[in-house]
Amino acid sequence: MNRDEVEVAGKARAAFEHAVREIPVATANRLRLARRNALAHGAGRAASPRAARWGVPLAAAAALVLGLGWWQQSVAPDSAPVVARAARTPAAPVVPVVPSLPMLANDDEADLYDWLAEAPVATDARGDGAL
Amino acid sequence: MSAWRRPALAEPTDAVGPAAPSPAAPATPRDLDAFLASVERRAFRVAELALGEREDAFDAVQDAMVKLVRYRERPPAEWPPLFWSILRRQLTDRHRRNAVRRRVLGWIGRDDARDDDLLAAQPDPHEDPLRRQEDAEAWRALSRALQALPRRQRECFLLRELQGLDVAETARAMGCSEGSVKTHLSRAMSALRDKLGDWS
Repeated sequence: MNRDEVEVAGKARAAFEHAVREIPVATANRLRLARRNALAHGAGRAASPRAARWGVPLAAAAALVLGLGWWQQSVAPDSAPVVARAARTPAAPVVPVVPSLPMLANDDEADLYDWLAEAPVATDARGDGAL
Repeated sequence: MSAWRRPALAEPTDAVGPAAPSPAAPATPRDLDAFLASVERRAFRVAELALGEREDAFDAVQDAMVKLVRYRERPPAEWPPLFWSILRRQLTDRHRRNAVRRRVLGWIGRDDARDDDLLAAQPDPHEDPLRRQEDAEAWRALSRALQALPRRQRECFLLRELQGLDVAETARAMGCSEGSVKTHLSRAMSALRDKLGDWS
């Protein structure tokens, strides 16, 4: 800073200090009132500004995630493709159909069918789901 | 660089009238009320120089006070740079808003100039009228010269030279590096020397 700049800065400071000292009475009163209002206003707001700043966005994000989850759960079963639903369905157990005994003509036939039910060929067929 | 030091903080008082300069070494008051009382007048004058409008300056200081109160749990040593940083943001926002408003009013052919503090315009019967006139002229010249500076240079000059923050505090308040502060200040001083040539 050269000599001229130092002099200009000094005079600027002098003008500023004079203006600070000679502030109008009405303005000084308003500033005092503003200070009291600020302190009274801030007394009930002890929460940290960081929490206040992030609280609302975080709550909104959490609500959005919960809403999306609920929507997916309620909509997905109906709107999923048929093939996908079929893929999710567990395979139904294969139940062999055995003729009921009263329909058989006699005991010989009943023995025959008992034998057929226990035969290895029938067991293999049930395993393949052919019955 | 300048031999200027941070001004002594005024004693907290509710009495109106000129604040008596204290010869004691400046120390940040530990009570927020006392701190705000010690800076409110300087903050108002800084805002007035930055914005060029008294009412806007008052609103900016008021809003800065409200915002600082939210940080009352911070250590008192952090209050000064925090307060000046908050005030600087207030001034920046209002400066931009006013620029847009003036542009819009200019388009529709209205003048937005106003000076409605009637008490401030009243002469003080206890003061030498000639001295008062000279002081008022100096203040207006300084205000005009600062208004003509680019925003960052003006902020730097106000914080560093008039408010007396050191380079590191000014850098924190402005959100830039210490090197940038020195550059802005150098350019501001050069421009002010040209604009206020008759002062030197």
